[in-house]
Amino acid sequence: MDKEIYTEQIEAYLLNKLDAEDKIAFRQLIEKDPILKNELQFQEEIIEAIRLNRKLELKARLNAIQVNQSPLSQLSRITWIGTATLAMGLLLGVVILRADLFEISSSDIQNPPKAKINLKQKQAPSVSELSQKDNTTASTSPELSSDHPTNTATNSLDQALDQENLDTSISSVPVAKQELISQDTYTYDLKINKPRRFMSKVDNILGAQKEIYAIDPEDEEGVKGIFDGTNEANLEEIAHRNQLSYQYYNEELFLYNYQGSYKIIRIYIKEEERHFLYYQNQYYELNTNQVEKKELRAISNSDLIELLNLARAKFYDK
Amino acid sequence: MKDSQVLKKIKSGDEAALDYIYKKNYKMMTRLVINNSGSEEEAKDIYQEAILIFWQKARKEDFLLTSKISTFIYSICQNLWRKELERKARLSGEMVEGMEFNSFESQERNEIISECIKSLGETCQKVLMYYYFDNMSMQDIAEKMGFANADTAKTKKYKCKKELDKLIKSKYKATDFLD
Repeated sequence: MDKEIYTEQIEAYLLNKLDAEDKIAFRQLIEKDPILKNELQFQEEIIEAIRLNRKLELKARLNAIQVNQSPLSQLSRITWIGTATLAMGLLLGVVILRADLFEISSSDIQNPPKAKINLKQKQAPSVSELSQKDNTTASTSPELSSDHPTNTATNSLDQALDQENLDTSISSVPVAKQELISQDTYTYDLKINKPRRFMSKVDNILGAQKEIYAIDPEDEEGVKGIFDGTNEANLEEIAHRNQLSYQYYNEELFLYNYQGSYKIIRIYIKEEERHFLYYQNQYYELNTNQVEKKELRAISNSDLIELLNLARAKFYDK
Repeated sequence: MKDSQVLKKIKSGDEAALDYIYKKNYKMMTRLVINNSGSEEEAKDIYQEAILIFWQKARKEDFLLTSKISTFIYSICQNLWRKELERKARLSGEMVEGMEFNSFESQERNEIISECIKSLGETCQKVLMYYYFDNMSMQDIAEKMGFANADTAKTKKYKCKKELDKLIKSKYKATDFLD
């Protein structure tokens, strides 16, 4: 084979740009030809090194970004400033009190309160600078922020993610409340391996039957092997786990621990293409961005099941 | 900035979008690792890895986001950290002694390659990195680098890659990696 074509093929293979058939053919070629195999390894190392260089460059860029301290140290800083502010306030209170005692009869009665306000205004921004370094959008009202401590007990992922903006709202809370809120912010507990809540999104799309149209899988090249369950290359048994699970690797579906056949149903719901697996009278939603192996959980929402039954009948029971 | 705007920026290869999501989600994501027996340094590292994986994925033409960006990055962080914990557990379970020696040669090769990349002109380095890491199309590269058109970018990439290959091969010969 021509050396130039070699190089192009190798690159296409490494960048996963060959279609399934060519990929298999190329793999067979590699096994037969040690020189080609060497060249493939050589190219792979180069491409990996180029990627690593870029990665380090981008990491350096991220490292140069000023971010807030980690939760723990930031907490202690906020607490410290809160305490400091409180102490300052107390000190000033004493001063004011004394000023009141001694100057209550003087005509300059407005002076002490003024001084107190000034100090507060000076002190508050230093806290907000801390928590607002990330430049997120303007803070919410104090009433809203003071509601947060009651919410933070939850450990659901979505709600936890919605807490993102909580810290920016701290800055607008009166100084005395800051310590309380900043501590509560960190009380929820997020565990690795906690099942993700796909179903929460499914709830929103019911009644969308009119918008549905399924893709006929047979219209698309290369898809057949995925849905008829006979493509050996897609299957890998993992011995220590028997749960039905899946992952997408290089945009291909890998299904684990199943027997017999299964079907893939792809439907559009609110202009979003979604993938579902039909296996042993159950439906499962597949997330094509799922790169890590993940256990599947059957869909229990009866409206969605009905919808999927319709789609399945239309495209598989011709 | 809305998720859709961020994605649009990422698609156009604007690294400022990276800075934005990095800052915005920093605490949330690092907390995940710190709360699961990780150090601050590890948390930062995992988060940066996840952000870059997201960047690469989002740059692909057929990328379809089915959740919030933060949810997506969060799940990448989870996966990366779980892998790292598994790796640590393996290492403490059985000390793999031969490992260091096996990777020595490849490490040496990597150093040579890295040196060669750095000895290329800046334009070449950028073109190759944009192509191989950022998954940029020739059109994207042309726009970003100010080339006349996609063909120019393609030629440039081809020449740069060839130069790099040649450079590395000559160094390999000098160090006896090739017979």
